[in-house]
Amino acid sequence: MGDSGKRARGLELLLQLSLEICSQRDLRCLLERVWKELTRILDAERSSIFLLDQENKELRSVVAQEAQEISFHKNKGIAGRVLATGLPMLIPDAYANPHFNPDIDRMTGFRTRSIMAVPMRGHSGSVLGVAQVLNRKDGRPFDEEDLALLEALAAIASVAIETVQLYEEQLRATEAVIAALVKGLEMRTEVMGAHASMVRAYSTLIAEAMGLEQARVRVVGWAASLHDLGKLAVPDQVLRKGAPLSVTERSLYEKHAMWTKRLLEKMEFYGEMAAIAGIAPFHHKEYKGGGFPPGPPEGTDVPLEARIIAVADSLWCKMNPRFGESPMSLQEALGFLRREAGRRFDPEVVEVLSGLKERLEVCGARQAGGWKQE
Amino acid sequence: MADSKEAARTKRRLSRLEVLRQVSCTLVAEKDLDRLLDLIAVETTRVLNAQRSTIYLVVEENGGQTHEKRLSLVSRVAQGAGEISLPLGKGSIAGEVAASGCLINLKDAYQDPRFDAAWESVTGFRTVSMLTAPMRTPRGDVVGVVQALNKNTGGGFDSEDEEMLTALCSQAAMAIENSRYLEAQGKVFHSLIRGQAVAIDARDHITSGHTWRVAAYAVEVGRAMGWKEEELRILEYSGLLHDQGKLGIPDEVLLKPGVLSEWEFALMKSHASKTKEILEDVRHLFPMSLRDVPEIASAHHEKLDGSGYPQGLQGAEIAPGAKILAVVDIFDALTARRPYREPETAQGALEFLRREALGGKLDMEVVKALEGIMGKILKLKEGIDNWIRERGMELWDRTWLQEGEIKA
Repeated sequence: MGDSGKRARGLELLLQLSLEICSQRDLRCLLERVWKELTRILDAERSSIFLLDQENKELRSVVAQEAQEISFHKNKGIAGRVLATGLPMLIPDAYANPHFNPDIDRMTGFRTRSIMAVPMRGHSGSVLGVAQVLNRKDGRPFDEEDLALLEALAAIASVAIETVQLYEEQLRATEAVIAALVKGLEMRTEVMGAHASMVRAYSTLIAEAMGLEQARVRVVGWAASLHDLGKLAVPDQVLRKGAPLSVTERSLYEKHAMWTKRLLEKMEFYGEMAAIAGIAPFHHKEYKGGGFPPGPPEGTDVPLEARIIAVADSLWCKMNPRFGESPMSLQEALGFLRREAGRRFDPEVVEVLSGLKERLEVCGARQAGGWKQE
Repeated sequence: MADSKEAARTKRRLSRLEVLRQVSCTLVAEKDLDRLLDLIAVETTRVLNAQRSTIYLVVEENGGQTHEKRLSLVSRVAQGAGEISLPLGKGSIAGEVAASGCLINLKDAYQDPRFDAAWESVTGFRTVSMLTAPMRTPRGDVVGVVQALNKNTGGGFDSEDEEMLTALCSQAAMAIENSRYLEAQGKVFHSLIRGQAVAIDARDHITSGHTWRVAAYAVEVGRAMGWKEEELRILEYSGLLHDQGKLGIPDEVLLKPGVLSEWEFALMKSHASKTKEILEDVRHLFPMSLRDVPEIASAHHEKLDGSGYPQGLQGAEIAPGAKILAVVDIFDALTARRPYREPETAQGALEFLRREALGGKLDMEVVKALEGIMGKILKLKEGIDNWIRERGMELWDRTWLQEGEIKA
């Protein structure tokens, strides 16, 4: 095949990647396929993508064609060199290059001859990893034309990978902040940590079973974790009282929903997390209207997300009551929710929950013995 | 004859794909989104052999009094035309493409009932053929639309043009999404961390505003000491989180409106180790650039001579950020009003800090830096205190603190 044929095939591959990168759900699968085709077009033996794992200071293969996952210190080998300098490298004879690290060959049994490696840069300018192709089969070194193709493919892949990384980082930071707040609640009353995580688990199960889209399920989870945030403002005497509450105590206790509302409003979260301010405070609103905090939204105007959390919250509280009531079994708690369906709770949510009984039992087993009255 | 036609076609396709390759490489090399969009408009015009191209971006607009977010399209790059603003959805071709996410290819725009010729009189441009494609991100959001106008060769745009424009749009979409992500990233973290500060302040209203003032003072001191923006951000976040552990201090100690007894004070002191416990627990979820925050935040009561808490660290064992926090934390505690005493003057507080530094407890350099920017610090204090008052950061009335009420 002539060089112009190779060039045409390379550019067609680039077009294919451009067209698919915004529609393919599974990025790794797409890159795996494109890199395989790249190996064929360049008539090489292997191509791979290594991404930088900052935590472990490692380069790890994410695309490696049939080879097992490889990882090594980020300073090692040609890839490490490319990562450090941010410049591409064309190596005609790997073993003659002082930067080459033969350990990987020794480990995999592969014999590296020629190498072409380019940095993968994100929009932010930082180097995310390295893309490389090994061993041109005709024995000639990789040339500028090969490099031009790899650089273009790597550029598109980099931007897509960076998007995923940025998003994941954001999700992790969100979880960090939620966990820190829940832990703060837990430090005052031990049970609140378990409560938050179980209500989140139940709510997520229900939201998924109701077919909510992934982003919405996530928001339900966050809101469920922080639904009792307002208890930061409930006095210890009320929060830790293991006996029935007086009228005044009850009214102080009920204010926690309003405090959750005011706290979340003042927190002014930005992005996806912002939605929880319109959900978390309403987990004590009733389906037929009423409940607390007073004021809108009422009844069916309460967002579905909050109606889900209301059911999940109540399920847990019936099985793990505070204030001296006797605990219900899962069966009894579900019975209670069904009796209240259409009155306090959204019947559809209760219906879905009832269908999840077996999965709830698995959830429930985890907390057995974890709860004790302070 | 047929062969040479085929060869010419192949050659043309190759040169178009070559443009795509160049744009791909620019995708990461060009950090400026505006310039990148400019380039995509120019290349679209050239590669598709069109007269003009327009790029529209989907923007969020506040719907006046209702505060409802409304999406609309605003032209970012409109070769030869001023800014064009269109509603999303029916009413224009671009609006419809943005709403549906599907490409529209028109041989003669005037024959299509969806085409709105009103803009033509404004721009003075006469549209014939029109190819409009969505810029759709990998997550499925349409962030804008690219529109090529008037194929030079006549006869409208063909399927190869559609493919090419779709490929260019996908590159543009990724660039837009990433630059928006990068822009939002800082805001997201900031809002998350500030959220924590709201919770801390809400719990401890006696020292209301302390968290915000400490963070703001620390940043100013750091800046005066020549710290980099990156480091100042870590310092700010550490300041906002330094009293996180107070979330776990019981009411009777945290909210006691008087001087604490010895054991109450010991309990109060445990907030530093609680801050450490909470933050160390979630540290692995922090972005790499913020991983030092837990260490700095939880060391704000450490003293250079090792007499501090919770760890009794000494000198160089204490992170530089924590040394700044230690000074501004005390400064704010002294100069803030308490129910049981009047605030200390700035001069009085500085004298105390100098004595502590001479006694080997605080970093003299930090104290001097604070002294050097005292005017700025006092202005900041006034600003923050006003802000706290206006926003009503105190979340609940204190009536329940009065014992009788709870027992009623």
